[in-house]
Amino acid sequence: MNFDLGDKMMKRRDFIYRVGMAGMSLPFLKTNGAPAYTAKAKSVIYIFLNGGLSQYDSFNVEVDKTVLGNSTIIKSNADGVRLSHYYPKLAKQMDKLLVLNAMKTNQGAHPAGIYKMLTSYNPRSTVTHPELGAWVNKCLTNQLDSLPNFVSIGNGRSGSAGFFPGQWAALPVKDPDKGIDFVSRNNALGDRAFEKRINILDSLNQNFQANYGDKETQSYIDTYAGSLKFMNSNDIDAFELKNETPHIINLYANDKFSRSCLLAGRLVERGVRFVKVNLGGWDYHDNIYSKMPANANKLDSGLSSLLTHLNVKGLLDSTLVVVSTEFGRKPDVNPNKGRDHHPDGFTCLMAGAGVKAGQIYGSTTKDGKHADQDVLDVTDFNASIAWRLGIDPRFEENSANGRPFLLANKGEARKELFN
Amino acid sequence: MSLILVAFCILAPRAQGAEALNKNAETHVASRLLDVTSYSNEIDQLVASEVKRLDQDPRPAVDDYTFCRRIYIDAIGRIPTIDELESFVSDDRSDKRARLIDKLLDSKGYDSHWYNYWADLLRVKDIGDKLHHSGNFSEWIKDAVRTNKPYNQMAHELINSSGELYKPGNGATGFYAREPMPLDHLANSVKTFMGMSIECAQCHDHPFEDWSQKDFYKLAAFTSRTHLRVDPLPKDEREIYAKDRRILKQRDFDEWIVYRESIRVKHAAIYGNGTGFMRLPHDYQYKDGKPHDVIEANVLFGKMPEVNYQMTKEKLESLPKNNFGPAINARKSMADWMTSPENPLFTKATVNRLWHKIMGTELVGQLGGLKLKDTGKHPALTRKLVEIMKASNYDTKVFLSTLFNSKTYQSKALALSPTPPKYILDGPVVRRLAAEVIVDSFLSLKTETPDKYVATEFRWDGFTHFYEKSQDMTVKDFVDYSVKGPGRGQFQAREEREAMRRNGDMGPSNLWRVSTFGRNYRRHWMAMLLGKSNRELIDEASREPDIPQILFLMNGLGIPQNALIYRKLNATADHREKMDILWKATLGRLPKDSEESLFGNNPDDILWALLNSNEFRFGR
Repeated sequence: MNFDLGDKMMKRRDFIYRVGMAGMSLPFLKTNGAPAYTAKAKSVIYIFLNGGLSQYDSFNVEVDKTVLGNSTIIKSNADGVRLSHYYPKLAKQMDKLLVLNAMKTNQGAHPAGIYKMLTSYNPRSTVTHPELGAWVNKCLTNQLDSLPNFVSIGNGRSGSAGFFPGQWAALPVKDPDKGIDFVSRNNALGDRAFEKRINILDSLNQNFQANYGDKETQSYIDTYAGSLKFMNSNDIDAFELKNETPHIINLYANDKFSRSCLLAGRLVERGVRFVKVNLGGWDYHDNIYSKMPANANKLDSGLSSLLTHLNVKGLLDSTLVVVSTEFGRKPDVNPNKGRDHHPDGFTCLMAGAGVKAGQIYGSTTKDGKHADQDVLDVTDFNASIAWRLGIDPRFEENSANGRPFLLANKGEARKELFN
Repeated sequence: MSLILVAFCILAPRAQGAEALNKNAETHVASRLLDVTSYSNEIDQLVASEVKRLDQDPRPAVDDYTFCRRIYIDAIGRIPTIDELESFVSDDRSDKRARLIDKLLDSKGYDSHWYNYWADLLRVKDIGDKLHHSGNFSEWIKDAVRTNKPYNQMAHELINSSGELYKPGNGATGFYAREPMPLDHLANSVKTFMGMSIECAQCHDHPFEDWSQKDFYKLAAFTSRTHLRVDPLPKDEREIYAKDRRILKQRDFDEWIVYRESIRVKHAAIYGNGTGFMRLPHDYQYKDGKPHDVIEANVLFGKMPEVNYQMTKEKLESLPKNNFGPAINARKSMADWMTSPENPLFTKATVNRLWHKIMGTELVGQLGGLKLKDTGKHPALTRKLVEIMKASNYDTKVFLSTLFNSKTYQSKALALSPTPPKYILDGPVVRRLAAEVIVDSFLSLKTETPDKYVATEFRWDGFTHFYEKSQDMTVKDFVDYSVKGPGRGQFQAREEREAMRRNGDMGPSNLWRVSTFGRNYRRHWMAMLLGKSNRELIDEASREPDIPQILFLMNGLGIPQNALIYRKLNATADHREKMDILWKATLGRLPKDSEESLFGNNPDDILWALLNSNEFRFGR
């Protein structure tokens, strides 16, 4: 965090601190659990393709021709790595990507599949589990961090803290071009007027605190102080895409997903640990070949730009980029020219942080019906991400009523995915 | 309340219906009080003697301003409008508090507020992948609140619900439909109705409690084979629907979907009302049984209810391991046991929850972690409240009225802290208001009539509306509907629109209470931001601050210029009067002398600060 502020900013901080520094407990400034392994990745950008990416129309073309539907095979810039023609830009970046072609989950319906992929657990109605991002947030946040370590960009599941306290949930950014919701104050309101308001509030709260103050009222006072600090800090700049240098902005297209990737890159540059980017709409049960190309184009373009961005900035070695989805799609195209859900053998991607880039890991049977070689369960996938961040995937936390849960459930890190 | 009035009411018959209520308000007010006055006194006496025993000072009584804000919040879930506050304070009748309590308990605001409470506890939720719709579970709960259905009856109907999901009046089935996993559902039922946590025993013997995995399976036997089925039964499917389904599927995906979904609305139902038998899980690890062994239903404690078995255990053991025996409505037996006044936990858990809701702390023990032997810090008070709940025949309004009319409730709220005085269950504690209460309180600033659009009758949702229509639909009608109907995207929307028309004027959504929002309309993002339960789990609502919430309160909250509070402010030129209006409308009190230093500020700035203040969002 940058303490080198101008005069005006310092003045503003003066009154912010007066609002209530006593018993300061900023939501971002708590720490728990030290890294268990040497971290090779500092941050994760987690692109989640809600709906179920068709693996046979994207990155798994090593199956019988009949499985591929309208997809045709194209070569990439990595030897022996081929892909579907819907991804021409990524074809030039496959040397940075590791393709995981034998992913497996036990869930075949969207809500349960998404839940499993993001938390490593089956959904239950007696407990909710934290998403991987919340575990990372809780494990890696330290006193010096001024930005939240878990940010979720776009629509979709917003990054639940499960049974952890709410402070470990993702900070949601629905629209990358608007930044954090409500972070700017009312335009009509000048500095002085806002200061006045804070002073009145301060006075009211002191009055109430004297008669009715307790831990809960104090935590509100602290969170107001933290929010004001956040609003007024230079850290907000991280969320302002317009402040990015033009040559980086120009790497990206203008659609929401690309802009989200740009924001994700900007955030990891400033040390944010886990940025989730949501790109939904993959559930093509019918007319997949007329509906899918637009979405494929977004992914192709946004991810390519992101890889270039991170590479240019020298961040690719320390940033693990993953692309995941709740399950894949069936090898046969149905009578409505769509593909139905398929949990047994689907595809995810990894890049950066020393993954074995330019390779394919795992395969399905040639008929596309089953995960075959080097099968990777979604819990192992999550465990591998945690391990690369230096976190023990068997890190344990108790839910509110004392039930113990491990970060990656029974998943184990697959170390051979990395150099 | 005066003794004379009580005496008069003993002779007066209890008023029935709205008309009688208006004509004979005196009688009505007094009649519920008749039930509760002595109860309230008994509570106050117990509390007073406990205070004395522990040598603490009795808590001071609250003034009319504090009482008024508090009772509006606790009874109907919002702060009073400035008019409501002023009219109460200026009322000079000696029994005005009792009158207000009674008025609020019979108001639409009560229906709204207490719906939120039960919907959280019962976790009203979309069904998920199968139907995307919770049926009329919401409506069923709203109806139970409106008619003040005795709580034990409400619980019994939920546990024993079966049949078609969208049939009007059968919304209790939503309780089962919301949950795909029957064992989770059982653990949640035990937690909901008995306050006890047994979910650990689902997979292994409970590490801290007496419950073994086998105990859990014995209880599960009452409910076994209860399940949601969304599609027609196989015979109906074969004989009625299958052919057209095939044709449509080959022809047009969207038509096929509409066909499937519309048939489901007609047929979706909770099947299986309990066989009384269960089988141990495939990975059973203890010595007292083998995987797939047949287990007979048994309760965790207390008297075993009658189960009308039609097959012997020996017979079932000779059948394949996926056979659990015929459905014999063993679930009713479990409902009998679970909701019986004899059940040592049912009533205790209920009063524990309601005390917590009103006073802000647990009476007996952890809301979802009660132990059989728990009696709370003041056992005599627990016993008394249990006794009152039973004597009232589980009449929630009588019970709440008892608490509200007590001196205990009408005393100064205590902020819990490690320093004295110690909290000894002698009154309410300071706590943050529920998300819905905060949001609904903004309505009290906007309009004179914040409860105007709370429904007073069953509001048909789109699927129930279609269910009704579908009763007369032939197979050809279903096909026509799929082919010539509004199409996949519009299928549900059209039904919702028709249902809305049938409901009459619902007013603009910016004047709705949070309880009106839901699956049919939309989630209430503001309430979610403030910690509203997402109803995945019991007791999931949050009262904690976080940065997105605070950013919204500071920078996103707007009170429109035509709001009640601005109309009041604009109606006077007197600055001091404006200040009184601001404080009364938001904090429900007059400004203190120590706050006069703030009067020099612009009213807009003061209003902003008041709405962001702890005093606004905390109950005291």
